Amino acid sequence: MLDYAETLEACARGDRSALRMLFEAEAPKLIGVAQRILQRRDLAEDAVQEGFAQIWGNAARFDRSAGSARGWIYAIVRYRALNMLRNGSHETNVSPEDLDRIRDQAVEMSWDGLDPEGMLRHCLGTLEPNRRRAVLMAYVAGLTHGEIAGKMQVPLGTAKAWVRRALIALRECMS
Amino acid sequence: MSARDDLAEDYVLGLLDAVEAADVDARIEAPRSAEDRALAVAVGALRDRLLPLDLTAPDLPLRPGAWDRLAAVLDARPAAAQPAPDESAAAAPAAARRDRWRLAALASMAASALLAAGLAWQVLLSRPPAALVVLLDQAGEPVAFLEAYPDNRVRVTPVVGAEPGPSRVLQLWTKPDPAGPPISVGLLAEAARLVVRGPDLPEPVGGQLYEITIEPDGGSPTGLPTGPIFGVGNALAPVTN
Repeated sequence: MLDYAETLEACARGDRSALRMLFEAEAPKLIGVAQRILQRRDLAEDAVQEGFAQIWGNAARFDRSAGSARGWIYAIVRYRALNMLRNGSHETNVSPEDLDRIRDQAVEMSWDGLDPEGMLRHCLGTLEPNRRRAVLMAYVAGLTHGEIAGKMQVPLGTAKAWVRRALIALRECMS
Repeated sequence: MSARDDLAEDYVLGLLDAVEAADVDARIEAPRSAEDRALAVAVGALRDRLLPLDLTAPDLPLRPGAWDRLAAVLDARPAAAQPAPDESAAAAPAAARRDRWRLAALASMAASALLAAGLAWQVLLSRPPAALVVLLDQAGEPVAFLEAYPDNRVRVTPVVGAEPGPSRVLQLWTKPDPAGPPISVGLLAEAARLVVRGPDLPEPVGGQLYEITIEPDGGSPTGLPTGPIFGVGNALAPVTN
């Protein structure tokens, strides 16, 4: 098992082989994460490549006392993918209906894929299903409040309130 | 504290707008107060709690040569990773590259400031721009107007104000080769009317992409845009006769 924090610290010292180890271990799953957001494999690969360039450049800023190294790495790539999605300079080649279906599938698979004994699954399971879906659509597929409202056919304020209440309930359940 | 948790949650879920997200980025990357520090801890804790969702993503195998392509991007970057002091001898070329790049960035900012002070408008005005660009934000609203000159200078005229946030700068990019990566033209400490002198690039042409992103102090750490987009647009070529 890779020691992510030590690997990042090696990257911060300029150790290219540490970055390579990290890339080979984590890039396949990270491409999967980015593809759930961007839909296109080529764009997902771009997001991961840019994310790793950023990980290499910023490794010295990783701080062990503010969360795990693996969480930091995944957040960087997710954030790259979200930026690419929001900046909208890239077209998807899927129809809106297909996009909808693919995103629903991704959300469902993420829920089904969680460890049934895990705390996250347990706490998400306590949420009312629509609110759980709203949170998963934001996190897994990168939807905005507005897109969540459109998809669930509720006013924007309702969608925002669902997400907020769901997050507060999660926070209470998980702490 | 609930407001802090709300902010951390919206940030980690990706629900903040670009400027708010850049602000949180700056605060957690270089905390300047106990509150920033607490926010960084809250963000880190939430990332770890939600990480199991990322781990449900399918593994998509790397294509052959993926590492080599990444390594080539890193080799081409002007900014290298921070070498440790005890490796300074081995890392000297990287450090020199980095210093040169910093110098270039500082020089371009200094040049921008001087020009913005109004010293050289006439020189610029004597030649027509090769390309004009209206940069639009995500909502499609114009945020800045660019005039790109054949001598690598770009005049930036913001039409909306923007504070890039603490420890953040605006960075101007262009893609002289539509299939190539964005190239940094220069840094803007704020959205003010000024002139940036970019690296030596082919003469700007109609259709060429320009964008301004919000980046950490000193410019993007990767040599490619990493931050949220302040504005983006394609150049128009003026009619010349």
